[in-house]
Amino acid sequence: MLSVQGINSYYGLTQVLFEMSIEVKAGEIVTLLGRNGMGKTTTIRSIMGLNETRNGVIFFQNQEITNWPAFRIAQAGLALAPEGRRIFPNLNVIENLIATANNKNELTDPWTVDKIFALFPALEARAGIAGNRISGGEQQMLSIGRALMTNPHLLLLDEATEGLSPLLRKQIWSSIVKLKDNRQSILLIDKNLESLLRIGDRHYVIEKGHVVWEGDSAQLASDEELQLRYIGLG
Amino acid sequence: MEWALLIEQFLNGVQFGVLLFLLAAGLTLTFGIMDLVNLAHGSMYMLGAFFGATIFLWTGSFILALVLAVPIVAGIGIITEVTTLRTLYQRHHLDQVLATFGLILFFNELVQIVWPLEGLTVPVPEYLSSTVPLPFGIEYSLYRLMIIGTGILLAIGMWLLVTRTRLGMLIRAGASDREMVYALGTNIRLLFTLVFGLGTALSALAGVLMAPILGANSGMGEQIIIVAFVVIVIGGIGSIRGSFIAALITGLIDSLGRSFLDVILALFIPINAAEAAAPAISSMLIYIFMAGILFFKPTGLFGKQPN
Ligand SMILES: Nc1ncnc2c1ncn2[C@@H]1O[C@H](COP(=O)(O)OP(=O)(O)OP(=O)(O)O)[C@@H](O)[C@H]1O
Ligand SMILES: [Mg+2]
Repeated sequence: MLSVQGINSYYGLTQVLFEMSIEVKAGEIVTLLGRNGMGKTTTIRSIMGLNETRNGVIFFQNQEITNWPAFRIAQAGLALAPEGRRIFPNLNVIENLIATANNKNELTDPWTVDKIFALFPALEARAGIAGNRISGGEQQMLSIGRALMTNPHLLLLDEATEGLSPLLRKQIWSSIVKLKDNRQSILLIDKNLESLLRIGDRHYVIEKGHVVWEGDSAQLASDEELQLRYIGLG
Repeated sequence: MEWALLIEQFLNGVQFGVLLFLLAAGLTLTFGIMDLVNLAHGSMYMLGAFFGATIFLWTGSFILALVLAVPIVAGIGIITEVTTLRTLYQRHHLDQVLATFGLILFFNELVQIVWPLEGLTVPVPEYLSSTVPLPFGIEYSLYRLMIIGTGILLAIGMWLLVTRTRLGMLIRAGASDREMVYALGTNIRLLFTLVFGLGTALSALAGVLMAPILGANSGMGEQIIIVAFVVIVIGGIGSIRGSFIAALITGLIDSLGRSFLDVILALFIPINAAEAAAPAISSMLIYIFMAGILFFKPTGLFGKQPN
């Protein structure tokens, strides 16, 4: 479904990604792991077309999308729930969901506001409240919901539970499990290894802008040295 | 105080306010969403007046002048956006000011080449040239009342568009986080062009409406565009509601100030001093008011707080 092959990305003159390659297959949950500043967000932004890439190619659904404008990449079926959530502060919860909603790829059974509310019941009571007046957890749910409303083939979810209380984390993870049961493909970034091992199918460990390890949950769970060295969790 | 004069000046103030709103709406949207300072917005008002006057003179139909001139000028605006302004979005405001000032000079020259040097004058359409009797023995121009009504209807329409439609949601979302709107699948360039065309259409419409009162003259856009900038700063950049309220207040302050400032000043200082000072002060009143608003609310009445 998604195949990133050897891309280099830069901020100005500083190279941040070096020959980055990752793969997501239909129905999979794939995670990107690594310490702060290793290039996880940059990888996702490059896939989304928000950072220019040089060298390398990106294929999505058998089309080459390298350096397409971001809105066309989104229309091809990629949706971003970004780091920091970036909810539209001056739109209310429902408006945040519908402003950019679409079903360009004509999925049968598309997402609706009611289905988002069923997935995240906490949002329903906040329907008419402005995006900057809801809690961080609600903003995270809204950010995921807003991305789902574009009916993506692949959801890019950056820092799924960052800064949230244990209870809210649990709610977010259980919603992600429901998405997984619906065979929603997800490329997921988070720092909570335990949950990622449980939910993710395959994992990439990223260090200084390239992949240093890849494997499935069982392999990662059994390799404590790897966890300590690249992820900093024991 | 004379009630008749007061009411008449009040209506004049509302009419000027409505006119200011038609210009400020496009200005505040382009400034708010695209972060573009477009001095040439007033040129679209001028082109509206010229095209409207010309079509009215040729066909004798004011309705036809409205229906044709507005899309023609909106088209010119969109061509300007695609060919020139689009390259300015990423530039500093000073670059934008310089470039769009260049556009003003260009359009002013252009109308002098195409139309007579002294500009055009057109009559008020006959069926709107009567007056309407109001209380206190006032006879007020039906044409000016029509401008007030049209402006208020358009303001309501704009407000509904921005608050109730998908396009309006995208406009508001784009004003707060352009990149996110883009990353979620909206062709932001197309959105900008649409918004720009809409703003230009309102500005052109104001020009067509004012042609029977002011005529069409090269340079007529500059005076009003400065006041329109004052309006969007008072109202809060990006806010349609703010523009409308600020436009009405500005129109009223200007109109009532010019008529009554001498009377008000005379309450405090000798009458001859008041009469000498009033004209100078009244032309500054809106700027004094803007400074006062900015002192208490730096982002304007309805501006979003910077985060
Ligand atoms: N806008 C930017 N301009 C310049 N450098 C940047 C910018 N954003 C990120 N970087 C640099 O690029 C590198 C990779 O950053 P990135 O945000 O992709 O890391 P990350 O793995 O997502 O980190 P985190 O876990 O903290 O979110 C870092 O060294 C960072 O300092
Ligand atoms: Mg990151």
